[in-house]
Amino acid sequence: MISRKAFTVMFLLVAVCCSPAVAADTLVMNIDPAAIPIGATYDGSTVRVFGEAPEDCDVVIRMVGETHDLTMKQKGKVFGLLWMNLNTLKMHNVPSFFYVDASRPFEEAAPCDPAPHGLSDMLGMKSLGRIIQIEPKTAEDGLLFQELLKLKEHEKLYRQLSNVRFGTAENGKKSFEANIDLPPNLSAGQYKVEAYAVRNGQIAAHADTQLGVSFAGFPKLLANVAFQHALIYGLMSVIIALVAGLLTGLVFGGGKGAH
Amino acid sequence: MTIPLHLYLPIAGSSVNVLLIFGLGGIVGLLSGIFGVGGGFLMTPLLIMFGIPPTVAAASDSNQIVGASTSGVMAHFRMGNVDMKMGILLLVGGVAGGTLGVQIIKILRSMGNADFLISITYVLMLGFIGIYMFQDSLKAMRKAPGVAPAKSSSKPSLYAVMIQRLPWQMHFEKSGVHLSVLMPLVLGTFVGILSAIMGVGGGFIMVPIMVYLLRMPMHVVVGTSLFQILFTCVNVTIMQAYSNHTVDFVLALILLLGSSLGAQFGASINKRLKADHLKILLASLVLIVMVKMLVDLLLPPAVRLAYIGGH
Repeated sequence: MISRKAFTVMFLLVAVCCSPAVAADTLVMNIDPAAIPIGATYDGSTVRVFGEAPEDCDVVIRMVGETHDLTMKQKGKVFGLLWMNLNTLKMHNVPSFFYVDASRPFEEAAPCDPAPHGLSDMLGMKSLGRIIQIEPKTAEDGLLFQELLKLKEHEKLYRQLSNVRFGTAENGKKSFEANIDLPPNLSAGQYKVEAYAVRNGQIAAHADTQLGVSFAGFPKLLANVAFQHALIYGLMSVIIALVAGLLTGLVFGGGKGAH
Repeated sequence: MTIPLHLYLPIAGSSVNVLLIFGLGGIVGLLSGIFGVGGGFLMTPLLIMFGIPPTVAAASDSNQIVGASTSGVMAHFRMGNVDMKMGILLLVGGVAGGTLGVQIIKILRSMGNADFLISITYVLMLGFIGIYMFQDSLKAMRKAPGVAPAKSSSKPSLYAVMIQRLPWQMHFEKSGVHLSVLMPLVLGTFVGILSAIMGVGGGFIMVPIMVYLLRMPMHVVVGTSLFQILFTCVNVTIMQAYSNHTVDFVLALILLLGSSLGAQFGASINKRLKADHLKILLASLVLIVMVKMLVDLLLPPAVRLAYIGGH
């Protein structure tokens, strides 16, 4: 395995929203590990995010998956009785994964927060409402967006937490740390890890880096065969089941079998 | 060597607890050993309950049945309980029906209704079979033991007259019946479609069809049904893997290991229970699964959105 240092990514970014007279705010972010392999024994994983932020700022960590356009069905009642899929909807720019973790509870407003909306509207799950477009537009858009969040949360693909921890402050800076829990049903792809320093409802500084998640080992082999050589995969599945059936039949003395 | 407790299944797109899946296979195998029916109709809903996507659960279960029926066919073939001629005709129908069923699923999946169709087909079939078996076994238990039901009707039934009029009559030596070639072909197609949609071998539909509609003797029915199920599921597995990418053979293999182990214990429990008690227990079990699935369709869903197609 390549050393952790090589994986560590550092980004320095100068905040643009502050007046030039104020000393530039900086935020440093590192992630460990910098790539996630999904091998045969993958059952969720953890990415540690740590760095330094201005002392008087809140810190928000986000991990966002690639965006997709989803075609979805809205469930409704048929014959006033059975729930089944009805209207077709298109949802544009839906991230496959969305994880946000802040140093302050999302619904709690900062004491002298001039921002009209809380942290949740700015960077939390609610902020996705500005990115995700639902087609066709109806009066139910708001409700459908909430249902999408519920569906994704239920699948453990969207999460909003308040677990960012701070170390001691030094020279106007303090260290921060958070652990991103990756679910067992994570899909392969490129993910963006972001860190924001927030002061008075404004983003004072931010940094981001890429996190690659890819199939490795046996799942990689299997997914390749199943999708690239579907017929061979089907034949292989049958042959393996036949052989396994013959073997268990022999082990148990050619049992009666089920019918 | 340590066996990993969790295994990532790339087709199902999630990691599963190997012991849980093995145990699930074991329980279904145990039940099928006790009651002498295939566990397919229980396995798929159980997998769905544990978070495997319904289309993957159904297709992988077909793959599992390939393995489960192989040893049974071997044993019955040695005993001469397989009517090859009937089996092959049912098979031709089954392959056509299975191929058709996979295409139906593909179209429905693109419309977003495949999962609904699987659920509703299950509810209807489980409800029908559960109620029928329950009534049948209640009737048998009320009757005085040892009194055989009087042979009814001296006149041939309308059904018997109708099937005798069909063209291409043929004699089936092993089963000792004289039937039109069309009968096994059409019935095989019907079972093939159902088995592709539901991911079951169709044994619990095929057996009553062979007994009541094809009028075959019971010992040949079991062997021939297994022979037919084996090949139908081979076809369904290949078609599902090729067209829909929904076969997870690792999942199937773990289920198979669990079910073949469970079936051995089930068979020994079977010998200690009375037939009518067995039947009524199975009927209750089938009805419980049906009610659970029906409730899911009737109660407002937790989330009023569903994905369309594969994801």
